[in-house]
Amino acid sequence: MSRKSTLGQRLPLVDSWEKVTGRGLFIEDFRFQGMLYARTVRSAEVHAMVEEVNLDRAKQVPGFVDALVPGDAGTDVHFGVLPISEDETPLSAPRALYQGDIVAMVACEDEVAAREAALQVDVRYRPMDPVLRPKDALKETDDPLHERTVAGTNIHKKVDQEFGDPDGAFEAADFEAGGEFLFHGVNHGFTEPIGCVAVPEPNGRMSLYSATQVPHYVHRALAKVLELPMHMIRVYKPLVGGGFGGKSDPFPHEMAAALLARKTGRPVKVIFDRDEVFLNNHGRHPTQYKLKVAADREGRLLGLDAHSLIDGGAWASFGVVTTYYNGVLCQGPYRLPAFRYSGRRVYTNKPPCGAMRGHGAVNARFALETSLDVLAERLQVDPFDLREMNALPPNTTTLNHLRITSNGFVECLQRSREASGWDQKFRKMPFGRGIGLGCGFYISGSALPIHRTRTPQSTVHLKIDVDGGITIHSMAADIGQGSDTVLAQMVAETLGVSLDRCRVLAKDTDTAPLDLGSYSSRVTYMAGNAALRAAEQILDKFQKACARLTGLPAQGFQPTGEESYRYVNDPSVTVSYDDALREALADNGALIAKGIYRAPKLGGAFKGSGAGLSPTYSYQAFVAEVEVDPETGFIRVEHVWAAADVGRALNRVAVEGQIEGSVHMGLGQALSEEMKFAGGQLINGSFLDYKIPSPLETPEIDVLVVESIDPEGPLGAKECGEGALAPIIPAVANAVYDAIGVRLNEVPMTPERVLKALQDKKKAEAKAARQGGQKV
Amino acid sequence: MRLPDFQLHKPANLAQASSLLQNLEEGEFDWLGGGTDLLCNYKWRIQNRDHVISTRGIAELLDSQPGSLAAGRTLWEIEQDPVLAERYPALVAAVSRIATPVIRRSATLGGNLLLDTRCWHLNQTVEWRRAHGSCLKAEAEICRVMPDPGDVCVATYSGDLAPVLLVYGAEVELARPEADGSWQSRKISLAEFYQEDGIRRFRDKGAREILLRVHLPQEASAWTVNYQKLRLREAFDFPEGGVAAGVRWQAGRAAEIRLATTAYASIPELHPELCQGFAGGTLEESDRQALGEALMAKVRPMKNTAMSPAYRKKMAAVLCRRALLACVEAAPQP
Amino acid sequence: MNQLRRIVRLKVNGHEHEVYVRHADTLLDVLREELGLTAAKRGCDLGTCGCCTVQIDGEPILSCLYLAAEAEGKEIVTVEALAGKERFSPLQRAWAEAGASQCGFCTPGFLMTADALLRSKADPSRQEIREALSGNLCRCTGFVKILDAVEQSAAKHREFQASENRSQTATEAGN
Repeated sequence: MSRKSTLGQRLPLVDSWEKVTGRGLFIEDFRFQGMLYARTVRSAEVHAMVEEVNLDRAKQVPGFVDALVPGDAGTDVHFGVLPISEDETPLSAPRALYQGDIVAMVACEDEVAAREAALQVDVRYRPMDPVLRPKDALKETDDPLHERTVAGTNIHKKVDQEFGDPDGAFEAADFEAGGEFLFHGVNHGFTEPIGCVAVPEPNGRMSLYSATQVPHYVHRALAKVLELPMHMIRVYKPLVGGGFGGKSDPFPHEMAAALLARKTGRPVKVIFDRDEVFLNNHGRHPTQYKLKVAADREGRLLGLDAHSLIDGGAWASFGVVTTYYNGVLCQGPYRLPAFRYSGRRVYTNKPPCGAMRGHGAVNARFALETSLDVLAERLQVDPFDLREMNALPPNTTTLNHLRITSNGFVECLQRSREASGWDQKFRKMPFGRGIGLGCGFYISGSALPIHRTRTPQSTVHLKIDVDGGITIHSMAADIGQGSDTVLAQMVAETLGVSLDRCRVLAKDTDTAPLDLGSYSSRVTYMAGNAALRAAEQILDKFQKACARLTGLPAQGFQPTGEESYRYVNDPSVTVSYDDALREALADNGALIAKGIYRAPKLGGAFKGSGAGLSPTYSYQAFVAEVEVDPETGFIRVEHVWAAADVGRALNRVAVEGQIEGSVHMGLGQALSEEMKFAGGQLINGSFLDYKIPSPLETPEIDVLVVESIDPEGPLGAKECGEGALAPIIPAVANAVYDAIGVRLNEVPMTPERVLKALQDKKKAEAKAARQGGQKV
Repeated sequence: MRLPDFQLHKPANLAQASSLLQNLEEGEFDWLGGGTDLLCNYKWRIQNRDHVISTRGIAELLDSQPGSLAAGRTLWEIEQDPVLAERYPALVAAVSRIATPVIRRSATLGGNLLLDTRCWHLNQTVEWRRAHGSCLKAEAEICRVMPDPGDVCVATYSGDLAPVLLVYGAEVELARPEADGSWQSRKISLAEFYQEDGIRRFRDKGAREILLRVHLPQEASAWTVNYQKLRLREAFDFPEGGVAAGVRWQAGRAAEIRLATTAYASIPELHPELCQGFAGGTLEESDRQALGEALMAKVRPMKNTAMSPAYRKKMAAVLCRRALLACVEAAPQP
Repeated sequence: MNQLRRIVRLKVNGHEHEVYVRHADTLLDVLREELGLTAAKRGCDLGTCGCCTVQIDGEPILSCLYLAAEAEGKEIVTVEALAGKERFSPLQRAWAEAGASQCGFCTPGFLMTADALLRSKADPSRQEIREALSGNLCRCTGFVKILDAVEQSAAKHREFQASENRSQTATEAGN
């Protein structure tokens, strides 16, 4: 009988039914008895001492209840996502570090009053000179923005790494390529604004309902700020309307809402307006990047030398990781015998930057992949050939001790080359049309946890009782990426039962075992493995039950995939799921099981060796075909072929969706998205002014799934939703070069920048022609 | 983002509107069309007023008489109208590219023509403007775009339909309430309607005066018109520059040529003086080039939208050439 | 009586409601806060994201920029009523099956726009779907699966709409 596996099928996400009916509850949909509406008061100054917060006028607003102001208990407690750089406080006092920093929060009986009261809060500032340009932040100063910076400067994190002999490599090189690159900041742009409701419970506990990707880190930060033991706090994650890294820090408004809830004794709700989401940011860092890459005359890469200057904005956030990733994640998917990287992340008086899809890899990847395109041209080899020639093989180790296991990179190259018709198009299309390649690789979960504990990174509990349903408890946060579905699939697949039997409860820290949450593309791999281990224990109980019922050896029973267990050596013997369950429950009660995942010990002994370590990596080779209007500079991306090694596609629809979404987001950064500032003030904090591509700018995307079947991945799977963002940006840039012969080193590649590059090229050509003429 | 309070009035006809207006001072009320622009400004507390008079229910504003378009018609209705598509294809094409399909379900013809001017120093949240400092068009005395514009505001007009209707030679019909409650209507050329000032945007439209209809002259449908629009995205975005070109072809020659622009100033403008030298010709490539250059030289975009003034200016030539080329390509066979 | 408040009669999903709200309250405010119909979402509150789209007299309308008091006398339909007596409309089913929802926040708005499209056009082309949905923003899917869902359900959805006894599109005055 054929086994009905869900693996690789096109499955609806398990929570899609509540989404298409509008029944699912997001944070703004929550209401509680006696709930107050809170509104933030944000710094009007780019950099200032907050001298006084005066509530006199705010208190006159009918409906005003209370406010949290600097000096209130808890408002100066430091927290932050990384224990090594906790530099945030619930209210930014005494110093406001950017226009938009939260300096107070008012709570009123309704939203109308809260808005009015917040506008009536008078804040007296003493403005200070702002630090806006990253290069200014490198200088020594008497008054750095934070207590802990590098040697009297505003440098937050400094990374210097060297492997092999980079100087020797460049001396020995026959060819090199590279340049200076400029990346503007981008924002996650999730459709659901950030928000939370803090609910003081009658028993003295605090519940926080929040649109978060990482309930556990919020849980820890709240405990610190509220000075409560963790068991007195509960974090509840409703449906989350997209995260992409932008909901993965514990945030000041969450802390402030909890403090205000404690102060008033009433539930406090805060929902950001869209402009506040932009001000809260934590998006991709604006970055200046310098890179050169060396090769011998056969095209073998000899070395890479890279330098980044990363504009972190006001706070640390994930910035230490960002600084490492900007170098470390250039170590693949190519073999590099020599490598040097220096990275500097600086504090400036702008909205803080943090983790965003493809964290740390995206800008560096653009620099590398466009430089490889230049190199290929100098070497007169096809860009595909250059990459294939230098591809890391499976089962190897990089210079910086990244362990490479499954690796479908070469197959990705082959698939996208063929599907895109590359060989018929590259350098063969008329002026204005072009095709380009961009590749990448990405971590599948950070092997090293943020907090140095021996606690597993993921734990999953299962419970099966007389109703026959299987409850999966986890704190992995489904934020739309489909993690609940992955967990359900792991269990259904292992036990051979229908997906409908599985219900995932991954919302509540009171019931869920610890999981580090949804960031660094870790959930499928880590929580998936934990779910698998838990399900295997249940299977063991079922097998023993089958043995008791039949008198045959337990190990001989295997799931048929149709809710029964068959004895291998005698297919006529089957035990139904219901019978096995009844037997397993007898004299025993509900079946429970626990699975854990802890990443293997990996990496070298050098400083910073933990960065970029992952149990495995995903690989991508993307091709973009574009049309460029040489008169206006508009780039139209006509088609994208996206080949990605995802280990194993557990659910085809979800995998394609992750890759398509990554391509769309990457195209935004490539073409139009950019955080714009004037004097440190963000000027385009709205969906009208921050240009996310509409359906009309989004091409058809052919996803080409490559399955390398990861040896340690859950059923062979690895990440698919982050690495897929980076390659599309250089693919477009390389296609633009193919189309009109100009290299763009500034992203986004807006029409203005394209046109300027074209004109610069014409000028240079004219100048060359004149000089050439003189020589003749 | 709860709107600040105001009192909403929903007159069902002009007579009801008239009695309402008797109790309201100028500057105390706003007309509300589709709401897709005004309510955004209100949410950001840009010049909120205590009274809002919705035009949505005013019967006269929905009454399109032959040869005219009622100002209350939604953009979506205009876009779906096969008769209009036949007679004024460029108008329908321009309509169908405004904002987004959902916005066009609410937004009206009148609202688009009367669209308030925009500037990135102004179209921001109230908290943002407080932090940044206000400007001429809002609460302050200074302009943040130009060092010394006098008391004239340089905010950008970015309606898409005005340039097209200017090229078609449209007139607008305005009505104002008299002391006895009746309405006095008058027609003026659209070309005479606007005034180059981002604040006092109309030459002599009174606050109580209402835009009733747009009239297209008999001969308008004989014009070949094309509208070209510059913007980063094909949806959502206001034009960063817009050029409408119109040609009245006669026996293969351009008997008359009109050019109009939007999003290049605080006013949509016709540029008759640029076209004069080309009437009677055939609008060859060199002519289109020359016209484009001339338009580019004339427009003076300000640094107050998403794209740079230099780029927008440069694009005026491209938009102009393309609009003219489209008119040439669509010319009736002689 | 407070001059800034009024009683508004709204017909939502076939039911009449009488609510005492501010003149300045939008339909979105009232649906969500007064009527507890939270399917329509507040994504930008300025008419760009389309997450708040509902149908008024059959047309998709941004409820964040539509005053509740102006919706009197009109037929308002939200996602909560999209399936009629069924569990899901064919469009909703296709949406789930095609993977057109990831985070799901934009889904209610998209569904209302797509439903209106399929109501007016039996078999729209992919480009027509793209155009029709270009006022709704999705940040998760890259739109591909959304277009798939509308395409795949077009024929079935048309049948369903005909069979459901839902209020028909009222002809707008002036049309």
